[in-house]
Amino acid sequence: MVQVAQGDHRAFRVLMSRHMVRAIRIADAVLGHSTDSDDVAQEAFVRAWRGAPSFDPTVARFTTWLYRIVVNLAIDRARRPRGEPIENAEHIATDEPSVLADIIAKEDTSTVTECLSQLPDRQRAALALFHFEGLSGREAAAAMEMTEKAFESLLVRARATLKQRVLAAQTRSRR
Amino acid sequence: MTLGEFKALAETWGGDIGRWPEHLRSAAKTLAGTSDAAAILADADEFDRLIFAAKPQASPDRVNQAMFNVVTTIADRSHRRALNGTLSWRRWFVPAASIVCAAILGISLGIIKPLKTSTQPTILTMVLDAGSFDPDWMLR
Repeated sequence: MVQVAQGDHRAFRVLMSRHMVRAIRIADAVLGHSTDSDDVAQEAFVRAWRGAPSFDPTVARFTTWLYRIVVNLAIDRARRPRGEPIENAEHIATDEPSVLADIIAKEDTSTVTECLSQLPDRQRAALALFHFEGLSGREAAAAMEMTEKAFESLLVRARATLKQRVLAAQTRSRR
Repeated sequence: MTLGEFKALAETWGGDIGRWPEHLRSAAKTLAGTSDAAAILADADEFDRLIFAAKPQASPDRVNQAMFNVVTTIADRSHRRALNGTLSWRRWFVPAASIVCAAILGISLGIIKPLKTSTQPTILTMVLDAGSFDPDWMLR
């Protein structure tokens, strides 16, 4: 990153080759596999290049800084064309693990993907950072510019809402 | 840690205790040995796998294309910035050069002109110096 800050194009390409795939995946998760996610990932790296001289590694890790840019850009982009989905953060009465097991057995990822796309943007970002990219709660909270406690409640709402919707979708398809 | 607290944590952080907040892991691992807690973890783990199955994929072609686009965008923007810099330099150069030329010309004329004073009276000097004529100069 020091080399990138000095305008080293080769170092920047190495950085991109390491992190571009993650940037695209996070943008994909927030934007629901929209074609805009490529634009978001690209713009994040353009901003990283421009902001590299002011990046302070003692304040944040590069990945946390990059993910923060990606998440912010993706959420901004996601909010442009469509309205906010209704957030339902109620606790689920029954877990029905057998239904979930059925979905996994059938590899019905499209149901989960569809339900995921209906979640609010920030909940999708929380799931993407914690589950898809394997960040710790602290890292994901830093990437989303919130406290660990706030991230914890965002994540529990995201998981609960997703679970509820997946089970509802499965119930509908069985009828 | 109660079983209720354990369940709430599993619903938040998933079925892998290793990914829970560090200060809770020890107590959670102790409780995980019970059958109820193990069942809770198994459910949470199942849901984790379900979420993970929806992980978006980015093909190498897509990644390479995105990298190429970033490089061209950066090159394009820096070229445009350099061009704008040049244009802005040209914008102030012409007026500044004009002022400098005018100043040089003015100073030069100011130095040269007094050395070439004419001895012939002009209409203007006659009017200005009318007071210095004799009152009967027309009768002569």
